Amino acid sequence: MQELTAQLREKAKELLDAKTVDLVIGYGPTGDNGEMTAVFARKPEDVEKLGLNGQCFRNLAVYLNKPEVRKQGKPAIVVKGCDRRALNVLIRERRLAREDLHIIGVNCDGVGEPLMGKCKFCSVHNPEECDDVLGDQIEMPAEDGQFDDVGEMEQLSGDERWKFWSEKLGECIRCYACRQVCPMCYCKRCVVEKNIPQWVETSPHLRGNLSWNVIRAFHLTGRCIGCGECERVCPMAIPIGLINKKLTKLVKEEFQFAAGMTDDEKGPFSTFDLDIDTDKGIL
Amino acid sequence: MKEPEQKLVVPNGWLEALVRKLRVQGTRVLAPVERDGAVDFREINSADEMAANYVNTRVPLKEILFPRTETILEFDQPSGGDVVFSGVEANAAPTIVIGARPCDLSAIGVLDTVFNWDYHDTFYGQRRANTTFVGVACREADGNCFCGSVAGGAGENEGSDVFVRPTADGALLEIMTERGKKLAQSIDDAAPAAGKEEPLPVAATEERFDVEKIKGWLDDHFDDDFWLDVSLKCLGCGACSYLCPTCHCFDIVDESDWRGGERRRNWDCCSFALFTLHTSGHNPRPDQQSRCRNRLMHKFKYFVERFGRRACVGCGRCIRVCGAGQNIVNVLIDITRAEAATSGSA
Amino acid sequence: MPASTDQAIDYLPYKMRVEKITEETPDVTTLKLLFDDHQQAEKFTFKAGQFGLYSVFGYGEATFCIASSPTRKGYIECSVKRAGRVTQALHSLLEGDTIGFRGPYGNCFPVDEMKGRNILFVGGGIGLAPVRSVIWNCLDRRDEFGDITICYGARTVDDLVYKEELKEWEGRDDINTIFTVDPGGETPDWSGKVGFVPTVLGEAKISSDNAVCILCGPPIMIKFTLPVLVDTHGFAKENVITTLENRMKCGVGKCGRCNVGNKYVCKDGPVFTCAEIEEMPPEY
Ligand SMILES: Cc1cc2nc3c(=O)[nH]c(=O)nc-3n(C[C@H](O)[C@H](O)[C@H](O)COP(=O)(O)OP(=O)(O)OC[C@H]3O[C@@H](n4cnc5c(N)ncnc54)[C@H](O)[C@@H]3O)c2cc1C
Ligand code: SF4
Ligand code: SF4
Ligand code: SF4
Ligand code: SF4
Ligand code: FES
Repeated sequence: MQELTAQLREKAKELLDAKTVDLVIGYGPTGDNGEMTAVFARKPEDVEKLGLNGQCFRNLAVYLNKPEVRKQGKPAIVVKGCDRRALNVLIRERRLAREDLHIIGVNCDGVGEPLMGKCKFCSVHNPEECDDVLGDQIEMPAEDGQFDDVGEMEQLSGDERWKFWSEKLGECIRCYACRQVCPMCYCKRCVVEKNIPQWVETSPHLRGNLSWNVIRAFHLTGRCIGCGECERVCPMAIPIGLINKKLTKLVKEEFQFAAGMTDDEKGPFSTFDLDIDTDKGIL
Repeated sequence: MKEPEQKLVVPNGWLEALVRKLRVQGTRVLAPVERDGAVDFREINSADEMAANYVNTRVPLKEILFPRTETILEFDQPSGGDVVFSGVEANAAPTIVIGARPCDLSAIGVLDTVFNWDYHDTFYGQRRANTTFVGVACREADGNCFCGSVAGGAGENEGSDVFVRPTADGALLEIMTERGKKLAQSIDDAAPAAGKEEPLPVAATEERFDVEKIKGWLDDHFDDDFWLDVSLKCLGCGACSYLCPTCHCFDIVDESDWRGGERRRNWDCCSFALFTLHTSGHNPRPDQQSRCRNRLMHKFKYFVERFGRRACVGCGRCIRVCGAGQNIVNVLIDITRAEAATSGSA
Repeated sequence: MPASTDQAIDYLPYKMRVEKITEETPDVTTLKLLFDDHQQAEKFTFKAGQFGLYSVFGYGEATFCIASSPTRKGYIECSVKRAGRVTQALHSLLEGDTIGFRGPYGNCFPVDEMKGRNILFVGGGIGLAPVRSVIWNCLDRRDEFGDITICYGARTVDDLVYKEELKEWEGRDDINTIFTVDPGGETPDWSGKVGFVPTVLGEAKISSDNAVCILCGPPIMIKFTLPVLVDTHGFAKENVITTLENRMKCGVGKCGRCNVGNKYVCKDGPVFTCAEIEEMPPEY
């Protein structure tokens, strides 16, 4: 780990010195509990704040959408394999141009203590298409049972599911941390902020919360890369990742598609192809 | 610390008896209850339901007086452009809150100020008048608590109607207010304190920075790169403010179908970009750095200047809930260092 | 801390009826509102510069100044520019419809302190609404004030609000008027000036002697007009009075939305002198 940190700092310094990039978005320790949060190295001497360890669970891709960060100039970004998938979606959706970005990939054998759920089922330990890659290649087969929790939920009756979700979603306080942390939630004006008409009620009551959480998940269908950040940041500990996962499972079954594997993939809900889409549909 | 009106000693089991009695009388009792790993104030019927170990509740005490959403009026639209509307009663059943922490109680003082400094908010006021707070000294703090630096610390009794200091074989009760005296009448086996009782030690929350010096630095550093540095990682969500016991900003919205509906007020917060956005697109606080600055300035400067008290009580919730790892203590320590550097008194 | 109002606030509006609708411009409409309850109408008083929250039930509340003069009793008027949800709903109302109004809130223009002084009114676009309240307030007590000059500009001739009243003011010999539209906004029969308010004002003969200026309009206009008033015409910033329009929800110093530094625009304002504004952090 220390070795990786040293390599990262050296790389970052080189990029900043040569003005290849204006800032390096990476991880660094805050406080004394070893928590790794986002670090924005804008000057060569800032690279001392960068670091890498097994606690780098955050997905930094979200920062590429923030106007305040974009204003700092051309970024380099440190990504794990899963985060790299987020970049692919952003590139395919024309949010980012590949050439405007310097990608520092880190081969990753999992983060969090205990190991985060997503890491057990990960198939992208070694991020692809990066400008630099740090760390040794990792051989780690994905475990089976990625969708077991979705399956369990599907076993419940409609009434049981309704009880479960109305209890959980009833607690949502509408802080929108889930949206703000999501790399794919980049809309300038989110659907809950559109008020002519008011599509989604903004009050944190069950009716409003249901519409919000369902709409959020719908907008991420075929785009969510499963980094789990929304669920991690939810201060009310609502298992919203499970809703996304259900849709991810559907997309996999119906379209044999997983989001963010390449940057020129065609997402199921953003592509229309006369040869494939032979359904009569509504037309 | 305030001098109590009265001090009482009670034996172990006093709380169980009190809750039983209140419930028999039909009084609503709220206390910290654990559910799925989270401790929050919930209605209880028996003291057994109370969480045994908790540093503080997830949702702050403020929600009891200032709920996340509440109806403030109702309307019907019969026909012909006419509307019939009427106010609603605040849902303000007499309530006893047991197990509130000193930081949260001190935050109630902030809310009292805001909701009464000029106009008196009736919804807040009705609930406030009907709520009795039983505070309890903290025996344990976690690494994020910093009440010792900004408020009275883990043994502060101000803000409680009755303040509980646990002892080895019961508790020392400090009766702070008239409401507290009234509640004390329902406490059995209470004896006047002799003055020799030894409360168990409270959690240590040493002072980690000097709020006066921080205010001094804030006075002179509205424009400073510091704000960009601390704000880049902030995601601009509402978690820290919604769960802050002193944050009191709200939105007012109408919700209806074609027959009628209601006007509600909901928690809102200054970290959101839309909070201040004008129709023209002009935004007085156009970026996250101005929004983060406002949040900190409001707590440590503006509120102090306006009302003579800080709007942060050191509960540490904003640190616990921030998904980006923003840490107000680190920010305040950074300001302290910057202040030391400018004043040359490092 | 200013003295407490010491009143209860339950956010319950007065019930008002739309008595008359005047379409001022393609996107500005003036509503004349009467109290449904006569007792409320009799008790209601306000001062020029104060504002209120107007609501269309089901759509919500929005903030507008009271555009009519406190000297005209029994009704209030507001001029609404179509902008978003509530303003659009206000634009779809019919005469006779019910709306809610709560207020008056905020401080006011110091009309009594302006007695005996010359007054320059400067308005841009819909910014004439709060100014109009003071103008009529002063005109209804004309003897108490010195010279009165009204300088008003809009983007185009179509965008001028209160067209009938502009004509009336132009025709009076106890008022000087300067009306202007932005270059390109004139029509063949436009007899006023062509040019932006700051330019036109800079060329006009105006004395700041014993004078106050009341200045309301879009932020960009204020930004460029203020130097003209101060540097060209010699106004002290204490004598240039304007309003801030920070977004508001409660109007009564609770919801926290309108703050500029330690000031609540809804309570300490919306009326401020330019000298006061200069002391505030630039968050307006
Ligand atoms: C003291 C004061 C006096 C005002 N007087 C007048 C007046 O006389 N005539 C007039 O036409 N307008 C006036 N305004 C502006 C008016 O309040 C807004 O245009 C109106 O609230 C927009 O409401 P909406 O529901 O239609 O817009 P929304 O649908 O709520 O929002 C549309 C857009 O307007 C923004 N917005 C919402 N509320 C405000 C607000 N209060 N100020 C600025 N932007 C806002 C939103 O951020 C959004 O971008 C005044 C504002 C203030 C604070
Ligand atoms: S993070 Fe959780 S509480 Fe906040 S809006 Fe999302 S689901 Fe609701
Ligand atoms: S500090 Fe954290 S919790 Fe607060 S707005 Fe920023 S990201 Fe959200
Ligand atoms: S700012 Fe943070 S620590 Fe201070 S009172 Fe609010 S939540 Fe607690
Ligand atoms: S910090 Fe922000 S959200 Fe909290 S009370 Fe102050 S202005 Fe409101
Ligand atoms: S408008 Fe709510 S505090 Fe000023």
